[in-house]
Amino acid sequence: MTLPDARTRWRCRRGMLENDLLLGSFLEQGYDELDQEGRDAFERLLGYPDNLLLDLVLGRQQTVDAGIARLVPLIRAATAARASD
Amino acid sequence: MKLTTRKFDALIIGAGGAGLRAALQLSNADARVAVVSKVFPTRSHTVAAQGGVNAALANVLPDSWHWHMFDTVKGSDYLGDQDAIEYMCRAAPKVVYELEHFGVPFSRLDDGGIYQRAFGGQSQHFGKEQAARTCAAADRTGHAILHSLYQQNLRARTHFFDEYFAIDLIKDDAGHVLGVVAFEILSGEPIVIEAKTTLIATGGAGQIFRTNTNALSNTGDGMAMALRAGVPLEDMEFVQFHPTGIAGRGMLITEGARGEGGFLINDQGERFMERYAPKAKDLASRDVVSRAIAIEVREGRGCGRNKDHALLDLRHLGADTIMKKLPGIREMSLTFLGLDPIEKPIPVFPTCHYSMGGIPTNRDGQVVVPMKDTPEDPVPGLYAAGETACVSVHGANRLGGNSLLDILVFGRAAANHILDYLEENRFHRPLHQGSVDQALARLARWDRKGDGEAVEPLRRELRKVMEDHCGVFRTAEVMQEGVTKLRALRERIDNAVIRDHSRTFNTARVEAMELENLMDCAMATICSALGREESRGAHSRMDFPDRDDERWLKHSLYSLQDDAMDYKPVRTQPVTVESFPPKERVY
Repeated sequence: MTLPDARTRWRCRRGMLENDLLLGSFLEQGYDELDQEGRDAFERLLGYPDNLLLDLVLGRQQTVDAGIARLVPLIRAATAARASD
Repeated sequence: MKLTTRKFDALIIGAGGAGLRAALQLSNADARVAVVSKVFPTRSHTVAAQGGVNAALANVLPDSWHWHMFDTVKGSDYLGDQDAIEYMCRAAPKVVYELEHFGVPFSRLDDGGIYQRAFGGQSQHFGKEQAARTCAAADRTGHAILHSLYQQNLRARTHFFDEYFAIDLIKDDAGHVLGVVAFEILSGEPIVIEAKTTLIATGGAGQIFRTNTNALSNTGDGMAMALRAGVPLEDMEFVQFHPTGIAGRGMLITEGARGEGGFLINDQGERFMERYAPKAKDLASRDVVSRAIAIEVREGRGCGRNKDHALLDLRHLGADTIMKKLPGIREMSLTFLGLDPIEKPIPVFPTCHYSMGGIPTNRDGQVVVPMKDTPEDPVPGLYAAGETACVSVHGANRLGGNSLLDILVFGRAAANHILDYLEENRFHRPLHQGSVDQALARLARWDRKGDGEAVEPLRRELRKVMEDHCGVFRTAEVMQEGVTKLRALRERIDNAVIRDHSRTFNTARVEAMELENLMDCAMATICSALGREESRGAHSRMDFPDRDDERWLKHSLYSLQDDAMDYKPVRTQPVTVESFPPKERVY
């Protein structure tokens, strides 16, 4: 694993179980396929406080950051896919 | 290799609400304070606390700290220490007003006062009318508290070691705690942090159960560190479960779902709660519902491929009701299960929420152990606060709104005692190299190469053993089998290996050390539960269904050495008022 990947993975450890599961699912399925732009957006998402991050991914709030907005359906899809395992 | 060494007056392990409240008190008094945290402070689990903080402000209904105390003692099923409970309830209004000054945006009344909502277990006049005692910042009180405290600490120039993992306490031969050996997750480099005083504030250990509501980081690191330093853990058998967590995931489905008419079914489609509680059915008390689900699964009537959960059926409520009244639950199901409760029932199982037990402390936050003359001799230089500690204000069960209060009151109290201690202990004691070497050896142990089991499957197995053998269905036979399985697992963990031996950001190593911590906390929990032959609060034994004050009005103490159990009396004498004697609890 490259250093940036390892660091990103650790920073997916959050204060809330919901976020641990959402981000953990995405790391398993989806993150590896991101281009650099997508990875940068993911880093920005990780910088958000836990409650806001959860609201964004659950669609309770919208973001003007187009890169993050593109990630939201991918994270949800990865989580739903893991649920049906 | 020369080890990096740093020195501070006070070291705090853990950056949740308890740790940050203590750090702020210390930094404001000009002590040199360091906070070590394995994740960024604002990603601590305090952020997930939605409910609020109890304090008898009497802003909405008449209230008094004494009524709050009565409710807390009763809620604890009389196992709480009444001196600590009195102290906490008296201090509550003060810590809430302090938070207001730190910038926590509490919800307000029209007159500008702090709004207070009514929670279960709150009463006026010692058990009479409902009280309204919980102060909240909308539904994100923990988040608001954590972020405000973090900002205040930055202002006060608290030193943060972010993304450092604490390995073990440093202790000298005279029993003084001298700090901690940690390592930086980024570089993998170990560091010795010497401190005149050390406060453990690492939160709970909910991850010992497969189904739990806790963040992944809640691996009981501080509790395990205390155990390894020879400190027993107190009342670990008392674990709060919520009956309906999403099976295998853990998140809560609130009682609201059953309140609206949702009901539980087994693999036959039977509404089984009718058998366990003919009157209240699905709205029976939490422990009755939790146990009923566990029994259905144990007796082979579980649902799903592994027959390991029950189903919560909302379909009969109709799409309209579900979308209008239970939108949050539908959203959670859609997101985390990929299923719509309008069309399919939700898989549920009792989920572990909160550890009442932990590192034994007095009401000054000092860690206390049976040493010489009393069952409660302070360990010099060592403190604990928050969910990792057992003061004990929650006793056998915790009231909603009392956990945020606990972290604030006792984080602050510990800091005040530390300041007094620092006055009298102005110099660092000599470092104890043997203790440092021992911690470094624990770190180096994971450099071992060769054959061995991997960490993740062992972690999964441990959590399943705890769920099956020490969850809500407890009998001597079931738990004895669990102890045997855990002992075998302990040996396998001793021989486990990790494949990745790189230094930088090696999270496999962190997870391996977390597994060791989970193991110690799991063993403490199951041994304490096996020892206590009664049912009290959250600890419910099928083979000992009643509370037994004659034999069991006492605290459990589990020691790592030989998995030994010991006991100490409950402090039934408050500080200034009369004791509340044990009574049968009726709500």
